[in-house]
Amino acid sequence: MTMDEWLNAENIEDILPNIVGHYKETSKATIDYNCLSWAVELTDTFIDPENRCVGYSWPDGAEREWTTAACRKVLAYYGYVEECDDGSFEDEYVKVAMYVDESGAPTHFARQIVDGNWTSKLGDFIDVVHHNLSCIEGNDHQHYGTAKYYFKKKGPKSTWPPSEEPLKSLTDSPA
Amino acid sequence: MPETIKNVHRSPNSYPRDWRRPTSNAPRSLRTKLWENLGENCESVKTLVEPPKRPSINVSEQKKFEDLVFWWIKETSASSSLLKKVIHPAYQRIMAKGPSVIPLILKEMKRRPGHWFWALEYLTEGQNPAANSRTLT
Repeated sequence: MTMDEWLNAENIEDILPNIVGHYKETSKATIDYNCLSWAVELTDTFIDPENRCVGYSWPDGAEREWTTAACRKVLAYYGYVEECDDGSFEDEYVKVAMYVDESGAPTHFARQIVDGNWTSKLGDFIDVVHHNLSCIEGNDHQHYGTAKYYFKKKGPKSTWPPSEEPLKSLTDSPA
Repeated sequence: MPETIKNVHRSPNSYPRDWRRPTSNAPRSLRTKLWENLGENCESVKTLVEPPKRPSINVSEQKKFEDLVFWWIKETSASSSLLKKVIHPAYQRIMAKGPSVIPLILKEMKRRPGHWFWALEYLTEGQNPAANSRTLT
């Protein structure tokens, strides 16, 4: 198996075994953007404090470090100024969940979409829609820790990725 | 004049493999001397400029590099943090190989995009040949 095949195949299930049965692939693997970019609905930049090269960005005003404090400022820059208690569905808001590892460092971001599911860009892997936040949690070094902080902004939720075939109906979906 | 020397005159690109064309980096006097002598005696030209050794890449180095890249991709692909990617031991080992690994990195960038600017910036002491790209086409 080549590296390309490895990245594009469902090896993500080996890394995140709890995702099996709870996700739908919505894009091919790419490094054009990362989970933070995808959370704020950007696909043309890789948001990272090490933005010393074309294709990478980091908003002015946020400390150039991958910390919860700096990432809060990045989210605020893109409109997610309100912090909330959980990822429960609220009609008028778009929510983003921040995952942190055991040391408290941010590891991942997921965004709630219109049908109540969540969408994530899994590192350099694929984009997925996943049924809940816990299915990509875990404390192995390649896992994303725990969804701990939630942010919201007023506005319509994204209908992309298309959700004609939701993984589960909203009423069955835990927050 | 031997046929091979005539060929050299016809096309600068047809230099024998063990020669190196004069470059703009060579001292001007040396370049001038080289061209003056080129038409008369190729052997003397050959002694004027000792061709610098180009970093040679053998198959085992290529394989070692590919193994490191595969290790790096397997263990960091799920991460979205560049810092986590570049402090991985495989990436560090690639950087520790020094400038001789640059051609392999550029070749890798032609095959697939990757987060290589950090390594290239380090290996080229800031003169990153891929500063504006994550891939080479």
